[in-house]
Amino acid sequence: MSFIAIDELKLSYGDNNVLKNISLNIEEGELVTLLGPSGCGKSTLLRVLAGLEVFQEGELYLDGEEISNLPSKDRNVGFVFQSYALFPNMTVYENIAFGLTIKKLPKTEINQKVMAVLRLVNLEDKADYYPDQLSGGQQQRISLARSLVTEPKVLLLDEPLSALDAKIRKQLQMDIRKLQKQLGITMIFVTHDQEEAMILSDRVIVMNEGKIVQQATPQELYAQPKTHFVASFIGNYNILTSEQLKQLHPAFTGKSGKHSYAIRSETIQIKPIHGENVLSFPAHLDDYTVLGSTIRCYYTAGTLKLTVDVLNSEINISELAKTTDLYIHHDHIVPIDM
Amino acid sequence: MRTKKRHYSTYIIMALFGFYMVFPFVSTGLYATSTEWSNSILPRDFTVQWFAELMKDPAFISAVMRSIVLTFTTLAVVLVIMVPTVFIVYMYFPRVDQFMKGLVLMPYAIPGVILATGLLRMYSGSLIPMFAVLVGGLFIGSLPFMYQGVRNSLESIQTKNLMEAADLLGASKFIAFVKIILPNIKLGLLITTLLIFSSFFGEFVLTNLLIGGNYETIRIYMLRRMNENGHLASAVMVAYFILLILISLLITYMTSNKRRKNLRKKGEPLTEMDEAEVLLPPTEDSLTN
Amino acid sequence: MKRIQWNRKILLLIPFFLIAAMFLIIPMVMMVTSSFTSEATGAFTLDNYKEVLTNPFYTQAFMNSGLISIFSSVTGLVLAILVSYAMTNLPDKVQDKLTVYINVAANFAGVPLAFAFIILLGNSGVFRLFLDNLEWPLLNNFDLYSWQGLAITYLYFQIPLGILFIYPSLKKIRKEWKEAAFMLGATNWIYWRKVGLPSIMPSIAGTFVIMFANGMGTYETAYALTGSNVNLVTIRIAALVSGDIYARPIIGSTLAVLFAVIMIVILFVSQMLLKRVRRDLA
Repeated sequence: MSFIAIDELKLSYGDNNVLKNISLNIEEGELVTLLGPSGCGKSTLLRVLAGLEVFQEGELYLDGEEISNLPSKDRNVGFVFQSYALFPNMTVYENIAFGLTIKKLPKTEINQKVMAVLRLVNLEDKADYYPDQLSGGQQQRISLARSLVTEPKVLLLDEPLSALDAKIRKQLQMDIRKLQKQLGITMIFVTHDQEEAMILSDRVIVMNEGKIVQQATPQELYAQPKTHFVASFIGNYNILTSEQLKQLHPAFTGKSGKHSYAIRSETIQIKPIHGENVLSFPAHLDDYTVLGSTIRCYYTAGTLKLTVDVLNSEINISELAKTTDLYIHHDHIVPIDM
Repeated sequence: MRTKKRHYSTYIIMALFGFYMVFPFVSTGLYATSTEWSNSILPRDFTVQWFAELMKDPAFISAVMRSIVLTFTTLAVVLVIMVPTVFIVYMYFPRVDQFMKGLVLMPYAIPGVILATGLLRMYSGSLIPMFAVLVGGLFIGSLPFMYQGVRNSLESIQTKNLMEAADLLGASKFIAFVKIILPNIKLGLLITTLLIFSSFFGEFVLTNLLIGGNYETIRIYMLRRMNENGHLASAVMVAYFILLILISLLITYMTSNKRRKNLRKKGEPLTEMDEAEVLLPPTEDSLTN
Repeated sequence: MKRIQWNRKILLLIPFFLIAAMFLIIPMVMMVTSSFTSEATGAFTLDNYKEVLTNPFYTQAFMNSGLISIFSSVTGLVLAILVSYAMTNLPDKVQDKLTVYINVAANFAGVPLAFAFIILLGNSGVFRLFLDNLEWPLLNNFDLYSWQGLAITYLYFQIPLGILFIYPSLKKIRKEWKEAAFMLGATNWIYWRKVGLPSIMPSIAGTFVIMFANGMGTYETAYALTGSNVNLVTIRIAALVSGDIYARPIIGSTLAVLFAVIMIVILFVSQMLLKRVRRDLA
């Protein structure tokens, strides 16, 4: 059995089914993100694992033990809140030591552990500060340290970086990933930011309306979105129906039973691709924006709008032709469910 | 625009308002410190004879003592019962919370006089001592302050989050309440306490109707003196306000948190306090007039 | 947690509900039942209500209380809005301090307040004698121990009370709204009529109700100032339930029930209206 196993979990508030029959396995040492729009049930699932939410049906296993009816305080899981939830009346040191004091560890041991974990998050010099004297990023690192110091079996992080500004968020993403690899701890990370999910995880679980819609490695997820929802949530895809593709190129024959297709914008080429199974069709350039390393071009082909990403190094902007032919290899036309 | 304009009208309005508000305070003070004051703008002399006379009056001293006993007894009961109650309701019984929100507004609809009528109906001539009934009545009268005050404090520190965090770190609910929630709502509690303290200390309606002459508190003493000697009565009022301020300062001092002071060097405002002051206007009906 | 167990924490709520029952709910119920009880026989009767509603002395008490409350809350509200608005123009630090003092002033009611006004404006009040000396007949028709005196005195605590509610809601009006409105070409007047006032209307209405209820319920100030000179509901009830000679607790209860019903209806209707106003605004 997996380290964490969630088996046919159902949770509802009255008539509102928040989690609909969720089953999920997570291995020890894995970093998994739960990704989805707000209200998809990802945070609720995390809180169920922590014992903070009451559910109706299903089973939960952690390290071989059924934990459904175990109170939070006996589950030995760490939890990092979006709002940090540091205790304002306690110093950084007291905050981190809190869990250990509850366990009635000897003072010297507490001291050792607290200082060690402070070193880990690089905030040794802030031990005597109060939370409101620290920046958001520092507070979240303390919160992380407070959860790690009790050596939990799994660390649950509920959108921990959402309240921070972009630069610090990037930095902390790196830090968390490094820390996780270093300690080999199992982490479940909730986020609504697909980029963050891609950067951090071993595996991404995409959720929508209380269901898991796809689970895959970041690379798989990006290359092969399974549904219309995943493709549009991950972004950067042109989503077309088979009729629309036939309009572009009458020779196109879709896979049987599939109606929609996702085409990543960087797989559409403005330079000819040779070989078989290539669709080509004329298009008109409406506009473009420079994103940095890529240029995003907006084309119209017949009645269809297409987004095409071109590497900035590959082409000189002045050379972008108003009317051109576009090329797509069949392999890059990914069939998706509605 | 280069400079911000402040209209003269602002200052005129504020000056008139300020004058109106300060006028009774000042005149009471002047009256208390003069032997004779009529038909002149300011009294012609200054004296402390009324205060001296007051101190010699055993009835005054015992009135103060009675007010203090009544106030602190009720305050203790209110705090011991209300703080855990509001906490538990807020955390674990959202439906009861909704119900309580309505219940605690009752004193707005039921002024002191009506409450006293009901209490007299039920308890006059019963075995339960009227002093206990008075404490109960004051408890009810303080509900709107107390409930909202404690609840706002709990909300402002994100109690639910903190409790969950403590829970996940292995703490029992009791320990989390004592070690985390109480220390953090202390400031908000203090402000609420001061508000109800001053309303208990100056209580008149319930005391007068329920026990009346048998238990002369400071306001009842005040009323009796008022009809005898104006200057002396003024002195009572000045003494009353000084006492009120002194005890308030004492409570603040006793419960003040040194670390808060250190922290404030950073110059952040005490947001909890500001909120509490704005959100907790006094309920006149049941307590003060 | 899979199932919610029977929550033992509810036991900790017992003391509170016991007190609420003993000192609020049961007394109120007893007050209501006794208002339907005959003074002579103890049987069920509507006679108490008949008496209260037909005796001009009691109906007048309701009228007087209502009039003085309306006067003091309307006037107080207008002045409170004026002062609150002026306050928002002051420097921020001054504003913060002022709210604290205003809180104190709102608490300065009852015996001390009545007495301060007696010193100033009473029959031998300092201010009155001073004006007499100047031979200004300004106060000649003014009687502090009457309806007029009550009105002036009530205003003293009604204005600060109003400010405590109005000022925060005025502060919530974002400067950006005004700026946005001006950018779009609105004049100051149009801004207040279309944006400013509608956004504080619910809190003005709510404040009015609180002030009105406050005026209706006032007893101490009126009692200290006029004794029983002015016929108000609160004074009437108090005299009926605790007076030595004229005590008629059952009639007192009847008046109190009627009074409470009026207050509850007012609060309830205003809540309903406020909800509607908020919905319309949303």
